Amino acid sequence: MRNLILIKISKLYLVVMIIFSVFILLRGHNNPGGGFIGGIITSTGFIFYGIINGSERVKSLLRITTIELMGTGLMTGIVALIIPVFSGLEPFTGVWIESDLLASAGIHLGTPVLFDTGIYLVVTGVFLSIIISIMDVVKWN
Amino acid sequence: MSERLIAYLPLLASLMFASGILAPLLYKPFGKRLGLLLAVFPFLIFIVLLLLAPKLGSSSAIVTREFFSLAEGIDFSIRADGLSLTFGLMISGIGFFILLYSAFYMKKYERQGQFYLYLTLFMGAMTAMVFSDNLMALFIFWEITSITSFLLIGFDHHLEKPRQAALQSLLITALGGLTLLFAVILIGNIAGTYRISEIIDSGLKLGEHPQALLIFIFILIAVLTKSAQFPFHFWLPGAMQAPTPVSSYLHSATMVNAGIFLLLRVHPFIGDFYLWKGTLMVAGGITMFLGAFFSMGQTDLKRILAFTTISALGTMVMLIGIDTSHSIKAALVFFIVHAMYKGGLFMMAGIIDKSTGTRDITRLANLTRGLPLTTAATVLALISMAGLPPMLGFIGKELVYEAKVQLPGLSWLVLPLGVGANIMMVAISLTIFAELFYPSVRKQGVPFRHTEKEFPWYFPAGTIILAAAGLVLGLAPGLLDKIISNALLFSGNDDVRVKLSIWHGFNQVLLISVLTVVSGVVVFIFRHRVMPLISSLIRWFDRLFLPDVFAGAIKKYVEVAARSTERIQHGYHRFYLMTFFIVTMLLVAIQTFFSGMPVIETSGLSTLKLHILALLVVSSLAAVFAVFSGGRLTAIVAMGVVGYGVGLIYLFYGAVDLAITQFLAETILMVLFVMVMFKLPKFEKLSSRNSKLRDGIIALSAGAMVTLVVLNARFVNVFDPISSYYAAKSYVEAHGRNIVNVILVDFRALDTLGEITVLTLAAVGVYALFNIRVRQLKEKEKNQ
Amino acid sequence: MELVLAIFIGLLYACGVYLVLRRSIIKVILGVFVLSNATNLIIFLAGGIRRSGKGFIPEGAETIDPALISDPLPQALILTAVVISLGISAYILALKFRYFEVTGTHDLDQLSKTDD
Repeated sequence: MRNLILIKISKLYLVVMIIFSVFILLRGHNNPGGGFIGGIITSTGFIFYGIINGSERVKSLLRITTIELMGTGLMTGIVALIIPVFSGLEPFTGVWIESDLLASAGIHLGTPVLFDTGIYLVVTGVFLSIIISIMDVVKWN
Repeated sequence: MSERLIAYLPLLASLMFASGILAPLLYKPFGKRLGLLLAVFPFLIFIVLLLLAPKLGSSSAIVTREFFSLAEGIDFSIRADGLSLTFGLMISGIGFFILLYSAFYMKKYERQGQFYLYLTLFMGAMTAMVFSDNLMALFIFWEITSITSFLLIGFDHHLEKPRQAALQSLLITALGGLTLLFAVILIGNIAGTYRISEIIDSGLKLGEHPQALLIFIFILIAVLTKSAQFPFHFWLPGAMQAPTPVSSYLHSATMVNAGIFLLLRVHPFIGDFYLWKGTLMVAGGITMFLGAFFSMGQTDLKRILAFTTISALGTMVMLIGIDTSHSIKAALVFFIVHAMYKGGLFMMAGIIDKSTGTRDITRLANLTRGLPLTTAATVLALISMAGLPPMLGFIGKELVYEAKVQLPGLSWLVLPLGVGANIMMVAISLTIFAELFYPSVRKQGVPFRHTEKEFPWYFPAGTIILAAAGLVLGLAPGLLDKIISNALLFSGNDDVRVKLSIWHGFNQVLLISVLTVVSGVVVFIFRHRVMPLISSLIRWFDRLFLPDVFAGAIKKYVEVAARSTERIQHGYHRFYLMTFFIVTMLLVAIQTFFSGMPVIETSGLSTLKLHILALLVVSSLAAVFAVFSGGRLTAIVAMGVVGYGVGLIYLFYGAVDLAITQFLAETILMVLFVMVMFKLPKFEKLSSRNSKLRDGIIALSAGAMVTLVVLNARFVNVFDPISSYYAAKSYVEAHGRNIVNVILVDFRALDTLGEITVLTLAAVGVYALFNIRVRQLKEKEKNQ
Repeated sequence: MELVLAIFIGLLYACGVYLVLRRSIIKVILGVFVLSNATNLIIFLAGGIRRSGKGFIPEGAETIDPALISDPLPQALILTAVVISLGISAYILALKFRYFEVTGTHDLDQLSKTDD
């Protein structure tokens, strides 16, 4: 399936999907979206990319292994849950950065958002890992 | 001062545990010196205990507050009294020498890190057990000793015999551990507390309690198994398969003596039970005699010693059974005596093994030349074992005889058994001495591989110092007076004035002693005739029961288990599921039958919406189509339609996030399905018409059952939904307007963390499954 | 509506159970997939579907009357369940592929003995 147009489209699609998923992730706290959905959206981008370009290209595009991606996500989640301890709160409490400037732009930053990012990374990593493994074995190249 | 001293104990014990756990890691930097390093801990504990002993005097106990609590009522606190101190001193003192000894003995072994791990954990658990003030803590440490001793006995796990012996000891001692737990719970329920000091202070006597019989039986089994008493004694000779330092430690101060400790510990509150005397005396008496008798028929040095241990333990149990203050005093002194000489003798067996390469007494001779110091120490230990002056063993034996003689009523039974056992002890001591050390011209022993001079100082140190200590205590037994009095007081005796001395004057007891020695010498002289007789007797006895029968029973049990497992675990996937579905349906049907047909309330239902109805009809058709479709791709697409239909339902009822997720997940799954599907074969007709019909009936009834359950459950609201809380707090406290997302990342973040962990595990599983395959493929390609 | 949905769930369950009782592992996977969808629906239904509002607090307001929205808790639970069942399905798919490669069959009855 080496088709120049398809390859270009797949690249464009991937970029759009990644940007879109980050957007979905960040607005997830107030509108439909969040880490799970964002992660799956990114995966669809990679699937499309992978179907057209093969798994090797996906791997070289990623630079880090999917296992590392998942690990990073899990660590991010755990860190987000532990951060409140340093503020003298119980773990798992949400800690927010109070800023009028950000609030006026409709952006709230806090540990729940960080945790959501962790979810995003894990979900992305999990599905990428599964896709790449399956592609490797069925020799989808 | 004593308060401050005692505060070191948990610290040292935890340090010991910690260093034990770290031993495999520490082995790298310290190498063969690790044993020497670890020996510091028991030594420090020994010093602390030694300093603590005079503080206690003869009538006080120190009890600390709990410093760690596992659960309500189960806490770790220290109780230091004469009893725990006596045991603690022996455990730590001998433990110190054992670690020194291991440092050389284990030199050639692999996995030394693990060895020290087990050994230090065992040592720590044993120490902690005798100082526990909580019965539950005592039980926990008791079990840890069982498990670590299993690992130690089976340390040479590449060999069949140690594995078997380890399993045997674990199975038997675990039985005792279980019954101990029952006993502890029962005692705790009756007393209202698990703390030993509170139970003792309250003056509780369980002997008259209706459950006393049960408690006593449980404790009895725990003691008989742990202390290798008849009829459970057979695991102990097997346990000598362990490396010699371990056998030495197990036999002398720890493990088997835990049973003795337990008996003395619970004696204050259950010693008045009417079966206490009779049962313990009979069990102990039989064990005492059999052990000594059997030891005469052995040729392996370690085996001889193992049987004498059984005999000594029997003596102690019997003395506790006699239950006078004299007898318990005798039991305590005898414990010290035995620990000292047995530890030394086992280490001696290891030294001989190292220097000549064998432990068979028929092949050894003239060892004095190469091992002068060991010989001297061994002779002292043997004198102690035979119960001759001036060693501490003499005092111990005199006390034992005294207790037996003064026993009203039953001394006619107990005394002959005891004298018989001691005659054998004298004979066996003489035999060991004559075979191994007495300069002989007739017998040519195996040549030395190493002599004593080639060993480092710390290798024979234990044997020598323990023997010397036995001699010192024998000459100045007054050193033990106070601690024994204290121990006596807290094992529930009123008469606590203890005066130990080596000379009791001419009396009945001395007469019996002389008789014993003379008879022992006679047996020794005729040993070449006696020994084959006994060993043939043992062979006959072995056939009757003992290890083989036990192993046979275990084998049978495993066979029966395997057979029944095979019947239940037939391996047919769909029959498992069928069983599951049918049983569930039957249960629901039974429940419906007894509670009457449920009335489905039709009021309060939401109105029927036509567009959703249409959606449902389409999805249902797709599902049915997927079931009966012959093609793979059509089945997958039909499944996709069902999935999207479900997603649309979510969307209609306002679950936006859910719907998006469902659509995306559906898409990804279908893509994956299609990718894999092309590598797989087409559907085949595998099932017969009859089985299809059967499955269809099961499936339809399962569907009907689920419909009923859903309709019923729909109207059961046991609790108020928590959602109103989320709706109220979502923006105010969590700054989020999307309640579903806030629940996911804030209110129920721990759940979500668990879920992403599960996802990660699934991905790692796929990764492993496929990458192993990929590696194989690559290798195959290379080979071609 | 609940009645119809319950019947729908029952039908999905019937299909799912029938599929997991097949010998072909492909059908079993499809069955697991149907069953997980049906179960998600049950949880969704348990939250109550009478209130059809979206689970969002409108701009400017601080709270919302829970009577106006669908119960958000089951939604959150199902959301994770959907993602996890996707992961599990992919896992089974992988497992199936390996199984087929090793044994050369997709008949589950061939799997009843582990020894060979």
